[in-house]
Amino acid sequence: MVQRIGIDFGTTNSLISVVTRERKISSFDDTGRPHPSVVRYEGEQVICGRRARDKLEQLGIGVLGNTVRGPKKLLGKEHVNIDGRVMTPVGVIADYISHLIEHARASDEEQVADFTRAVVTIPVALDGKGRQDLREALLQAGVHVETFVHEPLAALYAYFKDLDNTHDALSFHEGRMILVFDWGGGTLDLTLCKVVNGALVQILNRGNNLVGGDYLDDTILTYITDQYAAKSGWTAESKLSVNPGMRAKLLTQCERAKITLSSREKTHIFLPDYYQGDSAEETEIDIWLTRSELEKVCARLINQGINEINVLLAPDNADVDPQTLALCLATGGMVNMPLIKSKLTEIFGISALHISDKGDRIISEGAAWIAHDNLQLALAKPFELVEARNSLLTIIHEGTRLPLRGESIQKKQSMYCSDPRDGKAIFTFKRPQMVQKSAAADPRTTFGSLVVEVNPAFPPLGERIELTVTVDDNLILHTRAIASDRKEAVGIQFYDLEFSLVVNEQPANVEQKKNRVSQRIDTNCPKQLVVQANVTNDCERWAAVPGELLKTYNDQHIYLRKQLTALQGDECVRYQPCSNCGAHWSEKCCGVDLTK
Amino acid sequence: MTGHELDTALPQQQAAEGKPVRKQKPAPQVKPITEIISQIFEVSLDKDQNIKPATLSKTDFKVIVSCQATGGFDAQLADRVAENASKTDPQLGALTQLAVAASRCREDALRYALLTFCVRLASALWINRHRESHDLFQSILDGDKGLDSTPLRFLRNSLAALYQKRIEYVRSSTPVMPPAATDGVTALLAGSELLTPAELVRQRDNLLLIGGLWLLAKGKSNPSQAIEFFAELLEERQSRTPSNRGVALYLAEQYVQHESLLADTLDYFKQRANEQATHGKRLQYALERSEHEAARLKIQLTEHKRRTEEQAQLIAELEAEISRLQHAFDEQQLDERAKRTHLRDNTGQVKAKAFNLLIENVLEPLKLSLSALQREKPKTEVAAHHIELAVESIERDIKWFKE
Repeated sequence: MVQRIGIDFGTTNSLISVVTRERKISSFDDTGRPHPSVVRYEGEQVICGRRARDKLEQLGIGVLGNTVRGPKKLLGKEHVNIDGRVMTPVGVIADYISHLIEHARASDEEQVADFTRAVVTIPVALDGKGRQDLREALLQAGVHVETFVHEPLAALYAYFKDLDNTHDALSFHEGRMILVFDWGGGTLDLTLCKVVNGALVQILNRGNNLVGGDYLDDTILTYITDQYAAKSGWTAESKLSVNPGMRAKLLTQCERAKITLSSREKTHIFLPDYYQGDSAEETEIDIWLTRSELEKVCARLINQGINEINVLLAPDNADVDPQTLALCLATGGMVNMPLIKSKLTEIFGISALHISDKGDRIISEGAAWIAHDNLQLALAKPFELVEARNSLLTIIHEGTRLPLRGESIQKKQSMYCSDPRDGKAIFTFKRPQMVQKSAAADPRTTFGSLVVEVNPAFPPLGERIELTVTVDDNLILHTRAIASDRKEAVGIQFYDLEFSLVVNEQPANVEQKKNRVSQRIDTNCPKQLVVQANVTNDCERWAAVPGELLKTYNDQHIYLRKQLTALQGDECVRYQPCSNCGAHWSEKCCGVDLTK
Repeated sequence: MTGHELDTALPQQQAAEGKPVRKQKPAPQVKPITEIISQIFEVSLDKDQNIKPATLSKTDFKVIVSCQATGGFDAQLADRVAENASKTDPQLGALTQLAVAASRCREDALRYALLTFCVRLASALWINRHRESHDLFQSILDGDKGLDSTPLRFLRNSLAALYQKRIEYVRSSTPVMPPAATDGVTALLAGSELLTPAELVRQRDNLLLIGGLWLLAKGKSNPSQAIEFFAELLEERQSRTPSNRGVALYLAEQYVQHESLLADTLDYFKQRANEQATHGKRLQYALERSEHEAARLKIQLTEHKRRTEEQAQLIAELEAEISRLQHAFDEQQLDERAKRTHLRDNTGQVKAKAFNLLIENVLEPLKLSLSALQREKPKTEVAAHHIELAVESIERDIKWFKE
């Protein structure tokens, strides 16, 4: 039986892996390295991977002349102009994936892999359109995406699979926090995870796209050239221009120097014919670089990256002490730098820190293992709806299995607007900030709000609003609401859901009924405009109706009068001008306590 | 014919056929045979003005049997007699007696002539007389395609079919005939066609008897076939309440009359019964043998079935074994493929490591070193550093290759 593949479609490098029958990983790499994510268009010819990267002279991600470096970063755009040629990101990615697949097919002489079905890793921050476009691009390349999985989860799963006994390791980490720290060439991604009931659950994510290894190489290059100019006594005006193609070579030298300085105290950067000039001495780069210099040059960027850990774990975010983390899985090319290693050790301690020695392929291997073990994703946190009077209603429970290819899950809920006077019903969707913390007092993160037009002439709780929540196979959550009278449908999509990877199947949670919790009002939060939801799922929940509105209703419908709660009584009084003096409400207006 | 006439005609007919108990006056002189025949069928009325049915007296019977003079059976006589007979003998009872008498006639020529005459008369009287055939039996036998076992059987089946149709037709068209006609003569004259189903049955049986005699005379039927045929006809005559005493008395009567033919007949049937018994025994024996054979074959079949089942089970086991082996073989192949993949991976890794080492960590530093040494003032320190780096890389990778 051939196995489904795992694809790590990275910003700088990409790799396809498969788990064979021997339960070992086989990766379809290019001379021992992942394929650089570079596509180059030369006339009708499409060059991808290492050959395209070798021709690259510029640094950066995106469209560089006739070359695209990191086509993943194009996701979400409508069109891109590549050297005068208007293309879609889907087309560019499809070209690149086709190259990967062709190469892998040619390498897979024993036909152990099924290249038509794949588990594909995506960055945490990839939006819904990006996922749709990526699925389409892969389909154009002949690959059906079985499921998307976030890169940190894949890396973490690969780490556990590399251990002798995955099951025991997961049991050991049960209920404990894990940080996946992925510092690659393009981006730095941090993901806080937790092992809950044998599932790897994503809790919080954080990323920084401006501290990738490429920026570090660029910083080193700038330092080297500046140092060399200073050594040669050049000014900005007398500085010689660079020979074409030499900048790419110097970048390679800088990258190598960075690696050399991991094990040596100093190294030499020597590159003849870098500048355009007459004498050999004049045109070459010839400079010694020490580790302390390198660390000094990179300190700002490195501190910026390390600081992301503190921000993520800070009390206003995850509120986790780094020392309590059970594991920090550090991957990516950058984490081998001695400075970064020492800083990470300082934060997490030597026992909790694990620097992966296969940083360039751990994500791809994780995807292959997920494909092999047929793992499913589940929702990490409940999807909640804020009701009137600040209570929360769970629409989709945590642990709900997410759909595979061609599937979707849908929940329908009838809602009623408690205050239709302004013709607007407001749905606000939230999730708990942490997993397993969905009590009333636990902090929440807002997904967003949906405003539905309702008929203001209707009595409160009169007009029914149909709310439909769908999660599709791109792991995008679609909400759609339509009022039964106005019939103007509105919708909003959320893509930043957190997932969990169900490794050890646990008995299903029997408590799947809709439970309502009343949120506490956080008086400590900064003063800001807050959108108050005005819907409820119970058409007889008159306590949710504002007091003054219920009073008006009672006056109009004398046979249908509802009892006002104490709060509604207060509200009613506050909005009534004083019958004696006509003034707005005050506690002891005209000498009478109006609340009594 | 009315119902009353039917009731009265039947006993008369029986009397005429089976029990000629009526006293016949001896003939004062031998009359010519044509005259006897004319007299038999002549129309005469009784005191109630009913037409007397035609009968053949014993005397006339004897006269006909012993008569030797031939001739006189011309068409005129036949037509005349037929006309009378249609009134006096619609059921052909007297004609049948005449045919029997003719068959027993000792004179061959006369017998033949008399039988031919009887057949002609029957042809003019039976239900399909409108066909104007002089020999209804020959006409029927002309249609014989040899499908039936004997001409006698064919004749019987054909006549039965013809009469069956007519009987059904009569039954359906005139279910009840009111006794409207007061005058028996006119009724007979007018409704000679309107025989009741029972009369038609009797006419058919009489016609069959005549036909049997005709075939016997013509040699188209052997006596034993004829015996079977007549015996079958007789079977239909069995009384509803058979009385052994009556049979005994009848036999005694026959003995008194010194009738040896009955003894012959009994002997014939006795012989037949013996033959049948012998045949039955033979069949019984054959049946027993067949049963024995069947039991033997059954045992053989059971044995074969058991053996087939065993074979099928064996085949199933072998097939399961084959599929297991096939599965194991496939698994093994897949395992081998996986193993080969990893071996190739390992080889690829080694190659890649060597390639990357040479390209990135050896060639490039050596190039740089060379370039540094080729300066006017050779940069030995730089060259040495890069060579050192290359050596370091080679040493590191050699350690990896060794592992």
